[in-house]
Amino acid sequence: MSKEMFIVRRLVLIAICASIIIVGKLIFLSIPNIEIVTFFLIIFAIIFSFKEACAIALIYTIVEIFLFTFSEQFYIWTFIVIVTSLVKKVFRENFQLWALYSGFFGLIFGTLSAIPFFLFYEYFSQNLPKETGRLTILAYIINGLPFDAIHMVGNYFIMLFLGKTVYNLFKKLTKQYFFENGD
Amino acid sequence: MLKNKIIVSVFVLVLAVGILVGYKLIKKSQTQEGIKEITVEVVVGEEVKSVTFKTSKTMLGEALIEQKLIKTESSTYGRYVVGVKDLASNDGSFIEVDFEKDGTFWFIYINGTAAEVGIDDYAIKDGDVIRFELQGGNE
Repeated sequence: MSKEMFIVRRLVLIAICASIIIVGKLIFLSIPNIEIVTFFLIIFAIIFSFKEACAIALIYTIVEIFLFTFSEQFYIWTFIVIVTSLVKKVFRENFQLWALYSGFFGLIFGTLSAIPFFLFYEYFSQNLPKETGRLTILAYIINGLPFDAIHMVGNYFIMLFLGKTVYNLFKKLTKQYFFENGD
Repeated sequence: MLKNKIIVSVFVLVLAVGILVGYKLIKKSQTQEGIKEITVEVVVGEEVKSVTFKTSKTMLGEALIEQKLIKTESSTYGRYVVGVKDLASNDGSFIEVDFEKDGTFWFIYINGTAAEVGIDDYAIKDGDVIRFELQGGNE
């Protein structure tokens, strides 16, 4: 396979993976806080290189902003990919650990989305009393606790039941895509 | 291996239930027991009418329904106010709004700031001032 062909194939792969996440997001839209975006992002971050996984997360973020307007969770998807890339050498292929990891991200999702509000109120707004940021983040987190709990359980079980299967499938398909259907 | 899986899964579920219980406890600790006195102001245009009453209910929605001050309709986001009692007349009639028809709605202020939660999610405190303002429409 020529070098150009290889690059084109990688680009197409990134686009396809991003669209898989978008479709997955739309399918689970009607169930609050059950989502497979985190699941796919973790799987892709394990399989692909850091740059490619980041590209997938960024494409997804941009499409999400177009579909559902800009929201406080815009940075979380890239954040998940970065953290996953850092720990993937430690967790390897232990999907029990990955399930816990995924559940943990579900649990802190509310806290992560509250951080932009906190920063905004604490440092960028002038006419508000000083403790507004802290009170807002606290109210935000407490009110979101039930949803965080659902998110955690959802993320954990999705990764536990599907993790290994989907990981192996993507690994196999990626290998075929690059080396077996060669030009 | 399978045993570990089950133990960890049970732990995750227990943690989730614990969080839900903790949430309920936090919410409960925010409510105030006993008799509370609250004031309801109804604003239509320039006209302001108010009524003060005592209640033992904890949530705003229940207290207002108990006093027959509001009329509600339920939706997927919880109950919302469609009518507020006409305090000018004594026959207990309601000033009703219909957002779909003419774009009017009741805007709720709690102690001077716009309400952040619905009437069933607000725990009343002694001395609260609840203000209903008729807004929207072709004025």
